[in-house]
Amino acid sequence: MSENDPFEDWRLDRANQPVPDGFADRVMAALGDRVRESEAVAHAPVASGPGRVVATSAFAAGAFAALACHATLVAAIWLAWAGTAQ
Amino acid sequence: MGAAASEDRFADDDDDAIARVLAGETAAFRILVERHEGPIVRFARGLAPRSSAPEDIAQEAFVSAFMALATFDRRRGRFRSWLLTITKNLCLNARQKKTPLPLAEPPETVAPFTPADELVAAHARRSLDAALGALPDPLRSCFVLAEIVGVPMGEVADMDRVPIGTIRSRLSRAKARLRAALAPIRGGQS
Repeated sequence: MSENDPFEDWRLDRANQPVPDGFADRVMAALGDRVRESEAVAHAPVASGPGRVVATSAFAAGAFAALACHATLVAAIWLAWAGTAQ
Repeated sequence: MGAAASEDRFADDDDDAIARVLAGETAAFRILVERHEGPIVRFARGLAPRSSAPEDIAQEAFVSAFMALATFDRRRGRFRSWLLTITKNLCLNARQKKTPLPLAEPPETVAPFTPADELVAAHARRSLDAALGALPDPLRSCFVLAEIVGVPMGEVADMDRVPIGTIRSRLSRAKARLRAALAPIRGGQS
């Protein structure tokens, strides 16, 4: 340490501060946790098997019902218009 | 030539470790952590707000680098520069979230019967820490990188994407402001 330059003493002190013991271990442990978290998200359970079949069937039935209602309504309007025209 | 050759060898060794990690050998990342932990921890200590733990930010920088390693492009710069840039962004985010305060460091304990010179030196260190904490981000980052971490000015310029003359100017202004913080202490001594 230089006796006459507190600025240089301070700079050298800050430049030579050691890294905490076990820092690399700590980083690798945190990294392992993060990898496991992202793997858990990537492999999160999605609808499958019987649940998926039921959900798909329900969606298809709903879509068919909506389409049928729409077709019936269109047919009724067309028939009414045809009747009025006669 | 010696320092440059050594830097190039480090960069080549980094490439080797990075390739191993990308091939699935997670443990090879430890080589990179052990090689660069000194600069990253010292940079975080110099740039992080006092209210946050700089070692936590340094740790997060390494973890973020690992998660984004596939995006690292060697042609755009050294791995160390990339890591330092990640650390800088994390520190600046922490500073925006919290009130900027002087340099993060463990509380300094002063013995009750410390000689006067030691008290003055401790006072000088605290004043310089406070002055560093009060510097604008570009000056502070530039000073810590060049004067505390020991990054060459050309690399600092590449990281900040500014001409090297800008880095010289920032460094000069940072040193002037820091030395000005010592003026009251020196005045008190004389």
